[in-house]
Formats: sequence, structure tokens, C-alpha cells
Amino acid sequence: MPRKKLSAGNYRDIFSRNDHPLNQKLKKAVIGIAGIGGLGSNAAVALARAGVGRLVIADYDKVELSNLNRQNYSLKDVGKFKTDALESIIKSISPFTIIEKHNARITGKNVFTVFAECAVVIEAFDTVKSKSMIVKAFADGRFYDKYLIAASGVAGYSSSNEIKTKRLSKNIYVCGDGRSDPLTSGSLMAPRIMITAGHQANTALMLINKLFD
Amino acid sequence: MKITVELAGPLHVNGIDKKGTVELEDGSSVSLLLDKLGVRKEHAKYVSAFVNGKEIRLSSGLNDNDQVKLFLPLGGG
Repeated sequence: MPRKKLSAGNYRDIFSRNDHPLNQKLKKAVIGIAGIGGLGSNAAVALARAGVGRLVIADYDKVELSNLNRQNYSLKDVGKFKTDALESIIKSISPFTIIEKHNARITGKNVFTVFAECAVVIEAFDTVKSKSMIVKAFADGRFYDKYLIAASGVAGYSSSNEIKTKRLSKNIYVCGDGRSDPLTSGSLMAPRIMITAGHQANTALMLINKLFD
Repeated sequence: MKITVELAGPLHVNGIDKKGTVELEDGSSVSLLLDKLGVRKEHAKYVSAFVNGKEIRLSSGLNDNDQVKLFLPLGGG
């Protein structure tokens, strides 16, 4: 169906199987995704399908063949910036979702401007350094009224039930098994990555529901 | 003083009993706690410390009966 023919009725149809009271809250919500690799691309697609009105996506990387085993991209995306590829994917599912792209490396300096308008940010980086940076940023007074949903321990293919969502502080949650490391487990596999991304996206919905009460 | 430590991540530590209790000299900082627990320097710089539910700097001092959560994120995503 061409996008230009979509109407308000189509909007209602796309989200008709979602929770109706939550639909209105999600339509107003702004959620950030810091890093759009395995965790971030899958969480972003889940949030678009859930009806989040605006997604702020940030990554400096391009899609590579080695990403396709777990990230929400396909062969036609290889070589494209992840921000451009993910925007295209989301628009093909939910053309009503507003996408704000930041084709940049997120640092301790720009994190506060890139995600300034987000109520909730999903941390989906792949390095310990970047993960640590954003956790510390959310403990800063400037972001104390926003929520961070981090991830730690997503490697391998051991039991799905080890993946948990825990609250670290007033405004920081962490999803994962807390122990599996790609350096020792040797692999990053789609099922566990998608389970963790699902935990992150679902926690975001819970927080948005609470924030807009 | 006595504090309680909970590990939220893959930190390898020594000197914590089964209840998570650690004895420290009065006025010790989180950095001194990490030293006492044997946390390697290359890991310590990425650790976030939450004391009684609020994140504090590693240079901050601890108090008797504090509940300290130490978080070291794992890579991959």
C-alpha cells in the first residue's frame, strides 16, 4: 500500500490489536535508541509496531554482512548507514512513526543534546566503554528525570529464562543475564539478542504507561 | 564500618562473605572498596556504583550500613 494513500483509518487499523488506552500515550511518546545494532534495531522495530510516536535513533555505523545474523537488516541494506536503513524499515511498517536520525558516535558530550527530548532511552551499544558512559550520564542531574534501559549479558544461546530485567536505581534498568560475554561465549545469536531487545522494549512501554498516567 | 555489596554484572571480587558484607575503614571511598575487593584497574573505570539506590562517584565516601550495588556492563549487542 503506497504511503500517500494512508489515512487516519489506516492508523487505527495498524494499531487495532494493541492496547487502546496505551495507544494514545505511545503516540505522544519520544523514545531514544542509543546504538541500532542487534539490540537497538530489534527494539526500535518492536516500539514502532507498538505505536511509539517518535523514535530518536543514533549510530555512526554502516550495515555489514556480519550484522545480518541478528540485526533487523537485510542484504539490500549492506553498505548503508544503519540510521538510513532502519528509518526505511520502520517507515515500511509504521509510516506514522516520526524518526529523528543522528548519524554520529554518541559520547559523554553529545548524549545530553541527542536525547534531550526523550522520556526513555534504550542503551543498545556494543562496547563496555559506551555502555558505561551512558549509565553514568543518566546518573547526572541533567537526565535524572529520564529513564535508561541498559543491556548487559546477551551472548551465546543458554537458557532464555536467564534473561531478566532488573532495576539498578531510580531511573536506570538493566536487561540481560548479567554474565554472558561475547569474548568468552564466542557468539552473539539472534534469539537471545531479540529476547533482550524485547525486554528493553517492553520495559519502555511499562515506563511510558506510568509516565503519561 | 560494615557495608553490604551486591554485584550487578560480571565483576570478579574477593573478600565478600555470603551475606555480601564487607568491612572497611571509616571514611573509605568506593575506589578503596574496589581496591579491597581486588577489582582490576581496567574494569574499575567502567564500574558504576549505586549507594542506597542512587549512583555516586567512585571518589565518594561510604557510610556505615550503606548498601552498595556495583555494576559493570558486558559488551555485545
